[in-house]
Amino acid sequence: MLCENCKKNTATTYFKQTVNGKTREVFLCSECAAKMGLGDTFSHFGNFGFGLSAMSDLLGGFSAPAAQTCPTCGITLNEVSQSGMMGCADCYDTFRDYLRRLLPRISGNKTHCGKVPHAAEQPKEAEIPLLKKRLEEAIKTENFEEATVLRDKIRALEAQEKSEGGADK
Amino acid sequence: MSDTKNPVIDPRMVVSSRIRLARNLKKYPFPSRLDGEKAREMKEELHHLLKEYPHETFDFLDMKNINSVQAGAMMEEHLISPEFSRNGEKSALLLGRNKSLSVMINEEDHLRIQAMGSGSCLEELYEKISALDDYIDGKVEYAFSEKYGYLTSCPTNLGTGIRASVMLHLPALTRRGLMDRVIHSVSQVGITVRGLYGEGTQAGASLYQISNSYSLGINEEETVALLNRIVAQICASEQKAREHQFPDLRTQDELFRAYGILKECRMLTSAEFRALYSKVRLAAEEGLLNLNKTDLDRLFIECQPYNLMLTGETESDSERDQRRAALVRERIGKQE
Repeated sequence: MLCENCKKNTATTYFKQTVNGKTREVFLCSECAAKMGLGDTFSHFGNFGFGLSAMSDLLGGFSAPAAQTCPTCGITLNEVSQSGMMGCADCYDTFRDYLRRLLPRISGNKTHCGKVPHAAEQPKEAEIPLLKKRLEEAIKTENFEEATVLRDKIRALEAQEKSEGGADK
Repeated sequence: MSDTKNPVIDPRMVVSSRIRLARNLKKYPFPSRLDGEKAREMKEELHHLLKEYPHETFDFLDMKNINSVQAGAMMEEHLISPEFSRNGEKSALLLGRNKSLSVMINEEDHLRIQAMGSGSCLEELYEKISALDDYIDGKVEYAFSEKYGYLTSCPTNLGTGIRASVMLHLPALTRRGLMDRVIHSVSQVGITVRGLYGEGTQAGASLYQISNSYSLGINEEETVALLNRIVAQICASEQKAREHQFPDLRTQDELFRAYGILKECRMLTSAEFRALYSKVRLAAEEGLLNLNKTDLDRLFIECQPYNLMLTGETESDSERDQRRAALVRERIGKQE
């Protein structure tokens, strides 16, 4: 059986994770497993904490197989990973699992801060409920990375609101 | 933007500053997936839109009408990139009157908005470029994600899409073999140092471009402040390296000899000129020669091969070297 990540080498490592009764499985070659920080997890299975987030990330990615071609511009994941270039704005959604693995190597696990285009600006008072709704969605779909970002944003906005309210009094 | 937090930059070694913003329009695929017809449509749309910009008048240069010498000269002036000139018919340059503000259409991204100026002036450039960005943003819909910021062809430009860079003249650090150490240490804080004409080239005249390595998770003001802080540190290191070098009469003799050659030469290759320019600029920076540094930097661009070819396309290399020597003699002579 071929490694489900690189699709080149023979899979020698098997991961299985059960969350809320749902079981997911993934087969990897030793090289890919090591790259994902999962090599030791297999040999020291008792040490479950090690590499857990990377594993759930990976299993999450494989549980719903990532689209291989962008429906908007037609670029394939293979072309994207070879050139390092996205084909259109929608590629960022289509190839989100690829990006989740790529971006930490470029700029760490960071999210945008700075200027926002005028079309994306939200009136402040409408922002918190909207973010809370997105947080619920993220938890439901087990997108914990996104959930952490959203939680921090909500906390920051709430703190800001509180301090502004305090200043008014 | 406040500059009170920024450390003092030694202005002598700062040649120029540049800022570019990478932007894409939501409704079109990125340039590599854009067909000829859509690219033409977009060029027209942006040309029309920028005609109305109240703070600058742009010349529209369609790259399909630009020959390789003209493109090479624009590359030497840092107005366009090699990739942009290769995109041919898809791309166009909107060039402001004094060339300080420009927009590349269909480089790696739909828009590369650029501002440049002499010396250290990143804050001023950012204000200028941000105003143009706001104007365009009011007329089109940018590709944007709350998580990744402005969406770009290459994920390394995500976030603010800003690349701020400062060109420094660092002859003493170069001569003392310290540049590798500088490059390594600033890379730890997200700063990249490149040779004059971009990645993979030699810094022939001890000119280096210092720029931010990424733009995700750091806002525009922080990027400019980080760059100013690092530039100030590099300039201070250069100054220290010069203190070892300068009391030496041999060094001074070498610089004055370079000046003598530039004043009297009859043939001058591009490589020799770059090395002599660096020595004469150093002498001007240290107050040994009363020469205007901005004029020297302008001469540096005019003496590059493609810029010289603009006025003598068919001449031989040797004829061009004669013309370079004549131009240098005339300009240096004028400054006396």
